[in-house]
Amino acid sequence: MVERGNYTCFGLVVASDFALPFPRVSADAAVDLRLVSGTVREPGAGSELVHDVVDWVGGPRLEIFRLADGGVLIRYDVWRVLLDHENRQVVVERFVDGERAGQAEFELMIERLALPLYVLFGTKNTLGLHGSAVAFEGRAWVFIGESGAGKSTTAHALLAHGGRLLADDMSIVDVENRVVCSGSPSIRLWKNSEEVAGAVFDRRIHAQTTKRWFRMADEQAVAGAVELGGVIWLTPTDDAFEHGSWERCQGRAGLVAMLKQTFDFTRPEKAWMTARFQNANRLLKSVPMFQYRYRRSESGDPTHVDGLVARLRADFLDRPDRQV
Amino acid sequence: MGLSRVDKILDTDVFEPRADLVIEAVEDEFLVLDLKTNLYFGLNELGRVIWQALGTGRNFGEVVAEVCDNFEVDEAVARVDAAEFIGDLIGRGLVSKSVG
Repeated sequence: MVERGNYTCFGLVVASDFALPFPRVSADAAVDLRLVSGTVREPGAGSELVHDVVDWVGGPRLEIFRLADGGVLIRYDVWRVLLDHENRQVVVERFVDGERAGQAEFELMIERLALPLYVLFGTKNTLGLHGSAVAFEGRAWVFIGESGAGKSTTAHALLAHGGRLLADDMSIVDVENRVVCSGSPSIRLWKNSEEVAGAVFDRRIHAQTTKRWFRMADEQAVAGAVELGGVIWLTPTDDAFEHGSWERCQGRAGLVAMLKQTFDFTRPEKAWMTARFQNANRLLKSVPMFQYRYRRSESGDPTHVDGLVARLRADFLDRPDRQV
Repeated sequence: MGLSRVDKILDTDVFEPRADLVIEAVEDEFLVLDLKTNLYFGLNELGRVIWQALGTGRNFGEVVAEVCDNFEVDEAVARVDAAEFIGDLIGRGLVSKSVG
């Protein structure tokens, strides 16, 4: 399906040859990036494979190459994608025909891989944090943690407290300007369609999971960058004594914890490794990071979020003297 | 191969940190990124003092003196601590004995 239009996603105005599940913007808007259909060549001599993983057990393989001319090539499932920063365009080619991947998979690939990687590779001093981000009372809060720590659940629950979604799954932080860039207005939850208020539509992420991808209404999300308030490391615990504990993470231990939740490649280049390491340290020095331990409720409801909001209010939001 | 015995190290020995290491100061400590392996490791206060001394080209005797200046320890203890730490760094391939 080909449908030209302008969309906003990851803080970019994207002029697209393809229909995308993101907010539309005016045809007159200044375009940051063109998403076009075209032929993408295989990586040639001088290319370097920087990332090589199987996306999930039985799922497609993801390979990312740094090309000799500085471009970036993504090979994923049935697609080849060229991130061409010089010409401010992303070229997509479906190089395998068949029924294996459809429109939904295409849209997820654009949202999960092509656009965030375009921003990460093309913008200096950015850091990709595995986590969700919410704009809450004027500041952005990024929730990081291990898989299953409740990052998306917490972000979604904060929307009911007046928060607005900035990003899910991958939060891109501009370390130099201390802001969180917006992602796409979507969130991944272990919920059924009828359980997510404010979702415009939803779909299953892939056949091997019951997790669903919910596209939130535009008014529940933020399309621009928001000043970063802090990073919150969510840690579920079985220990009732630890429930609700809120501890500042600093120094070496804080940096190690943050690095573990920072996007990295399987075969990174030295320049990338150095930038990631130094940017994480800069971020930790410029904004607070807290570890929030909580017990999951037996019902599965995000009952920990009230306590989290109370902590945020007590430490920052109700204290104008407190510098974030 | 690590150096675990103090008597293997002479006061005049100089140990060089590898060039492809990235060091970041965090609070009062250091975190060192090894660009060969993409692994990082932390240095405590003692490690930080020794690492800084090695980085400025001090020989082992001077490193020991630096440890004594920064911590209230006997020279004999400082010598053992410094030797063990340097031995560990050698074992991890992060420093090597300077030749010549």
